[in-house]
Amino acid sequence: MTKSIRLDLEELARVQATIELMPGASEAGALKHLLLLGVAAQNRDQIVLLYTRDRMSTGEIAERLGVSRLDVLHVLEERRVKVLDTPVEAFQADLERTTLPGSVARP
Amino acid sequence: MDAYLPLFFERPLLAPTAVLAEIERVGQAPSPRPREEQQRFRLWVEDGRVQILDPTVPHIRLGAGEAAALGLARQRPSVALLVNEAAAYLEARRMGVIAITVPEMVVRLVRSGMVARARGEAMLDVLEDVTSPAIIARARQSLVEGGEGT
Repeated sequence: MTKSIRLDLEELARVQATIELMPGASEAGALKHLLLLGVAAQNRDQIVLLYTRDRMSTGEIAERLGVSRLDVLHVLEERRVKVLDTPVEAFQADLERTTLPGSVARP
Repeated sequence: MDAYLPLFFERPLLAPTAVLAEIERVGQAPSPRPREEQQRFRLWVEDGRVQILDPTVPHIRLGAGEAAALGLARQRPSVALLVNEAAAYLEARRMGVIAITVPEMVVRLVRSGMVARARGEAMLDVLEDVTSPAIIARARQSLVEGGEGT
């Protein structure tokens, strides 16, 4: 599929300056590469926003953006978003459970 | 940490198809090379340490894999659900499912003697960026109180 976009002169100058620093790439190839980089960067921002602002789960975000859930987790880790911000009281109660179903070890 | 799971539990680990699909999806882009955890999971499925099982999926606001795993744990009261994020953890607790977070699993591995305390501390170091400071502090305290390993 081919899409065309209109750039103003300032935007065009910035794009051309960037492409000139990408030796060996055709203009079309370089533009596609830059577009995909932009999509990835936008997705990373969206992941953080959807998790922190919209309180969506990582699986839900992955489905929404068409990426893997582990990739979502990696982005959140990279941005130091606390995905395990569970109540400490619940964590304490979990630790006090005498055993877990199916575990070979006793705490 | 997940490498220790088959040692810690005496039964096969259960995973729904949706979770398998999530894991298989990793590495498709930008790098086609399978990641270590992906290869490990494939091996476990092949040798029976992981059993693929699908539940009736509850209608909840989670992703397909999370919902399927939660549905499976809900249908089997003798199963604990390992989660690595707050949303799934809180939903599981709301549904009465036994949910284990990764920091809790680290503490239990150290307490069981399968993992040395120093190794457990290192695992918590890795989790620090994605876990609330209060949870990490409590987990570290538990490792000290446990007194096992060095």
